[in-house]
Amino acid sequence: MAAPSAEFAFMTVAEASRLMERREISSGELAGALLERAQRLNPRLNSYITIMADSAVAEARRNDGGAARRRRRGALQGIPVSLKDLIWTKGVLTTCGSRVLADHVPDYDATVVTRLKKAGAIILGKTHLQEFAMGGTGTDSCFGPARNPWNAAHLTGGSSSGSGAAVAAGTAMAALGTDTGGSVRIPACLCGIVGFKQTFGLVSRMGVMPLSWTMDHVGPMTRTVEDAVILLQAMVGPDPHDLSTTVARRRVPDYRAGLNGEIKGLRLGLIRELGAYKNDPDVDAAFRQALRVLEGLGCSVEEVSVPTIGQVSRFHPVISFSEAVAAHRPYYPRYRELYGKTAVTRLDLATLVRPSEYMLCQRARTVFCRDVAKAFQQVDLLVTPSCPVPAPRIDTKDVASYGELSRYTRPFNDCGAPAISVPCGFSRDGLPLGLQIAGRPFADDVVLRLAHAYEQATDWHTRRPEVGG
Amino acid sequence: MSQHKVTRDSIQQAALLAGLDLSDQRADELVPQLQTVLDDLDAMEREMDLTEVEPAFIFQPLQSPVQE
Repeated sequence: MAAPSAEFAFMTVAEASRLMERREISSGELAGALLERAQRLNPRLNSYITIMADSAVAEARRNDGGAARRRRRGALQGIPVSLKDLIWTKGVLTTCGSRVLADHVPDYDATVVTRLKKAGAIILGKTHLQEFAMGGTGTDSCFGPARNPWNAAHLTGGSSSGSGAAVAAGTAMAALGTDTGGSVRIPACLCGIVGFKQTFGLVSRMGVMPLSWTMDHVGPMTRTVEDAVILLQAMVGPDPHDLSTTVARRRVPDYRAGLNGEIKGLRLGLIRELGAYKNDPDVDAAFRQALRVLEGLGCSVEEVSVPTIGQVSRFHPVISFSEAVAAHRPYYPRYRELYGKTAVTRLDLATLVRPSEYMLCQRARTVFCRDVAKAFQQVDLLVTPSCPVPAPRIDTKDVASYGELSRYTRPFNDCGAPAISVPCGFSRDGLPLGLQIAGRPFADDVVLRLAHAYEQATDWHTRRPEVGG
Repeated sequence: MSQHKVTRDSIQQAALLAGLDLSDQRADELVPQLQTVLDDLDAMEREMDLTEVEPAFIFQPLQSPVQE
């Protein structure tokens, strides 16, 4: 018997895949339910820029047909996945959230899209984003702000704003985002879902609009850690069109098989220098509670020092926006008047920064990476809140608080380390909060294992916003 | 305080070299923001020992294409 649409909407990828395997549900039913919900809720949440109803239904029908249904290619077969709208999709509008690319239709798929399709995924739509991924709020886009499913007056976080909101609202089963300073983990945190940024270079960025070649990552946004792993496993691996993926030539572990491995005895580090920063009291309370859960699972917690972590806020923006100016040469300054205020201000400023200053920042980054490596000699993983505050209101005038959204996330872009945000509680106003777990480069499996164990020990990831029935 | 004093004129000169034609009003808006960036970088350079530190990327000569 077919499940009601709300049940489809909040099913995990793993659950849906098991039901499809047993032929209890079809890809068509699943895609149909999600499409109906996405079309119904999009005027309220603004999660999608393009809903690909016709192609998704056609693809689902093909999947439900004879041969494809008999021979399942894996857990992603027949599963609808949504994509941040800066990921190239052949023949489908890809705007980057900007008037600059308002009519842009790529003639090829990004490598991640090719790989997801090869694994049998069905592309459901293209999600809202902060213009060209230049910021962490999800409010600055030519399509207007994305709205948080937990409270539509609040922002979603960004820049993968629509992906976060759609997964949280049950209008996407899973989505891809991109992360240069936290753009997967921030909206994951503020919307109450899982967001994972794997080790730099494990997943190709070919066909993804660059923001910063030395810090960009494509990552999964899902309801559970297991679902994130299912997407990751389909995407990871070398790509001749993205030389950063040279590192992915090393053997890729079976991340899903390792999820239930031992976590007892893991040493977790709290970065001493981050203690100087002030968080929202609800964030602090949820983080302390999360630490107690992790200790209860057999992990130990100790302080470590990363003396240069305070410099990240100085060198990170110069690196990312200097690289963005280079990446935007086809459009900027030629179409400067078409950019929104936030994006153009960042590009203008970075244009005025000299190459010697960019290199100074890359040298400071080297020292920071060494400091993080030293900390990882002492502990296995680092833990922080994902964001220092719950989702701010969209109409807040205190823009200073926006800049701080990436305080805890961006250091792990600078050092290329894997980091995940998992739901860890709610503010008194009912807004989601997140726990960030980061590991040594290529210890993605350890990060995922602890995040999965934490998720299994808590029920935060099972909470649903009251939106859409 | 940065060794560089940012002014409307210095911004407009640098912008012209970069192919940007900024209005006086726009240049004025950018003055405090650019000054903050440069002050921060000066402070960072003073606080960190960057002697003999290389940038955080490596040139790989004649790198062969990655095989799928």
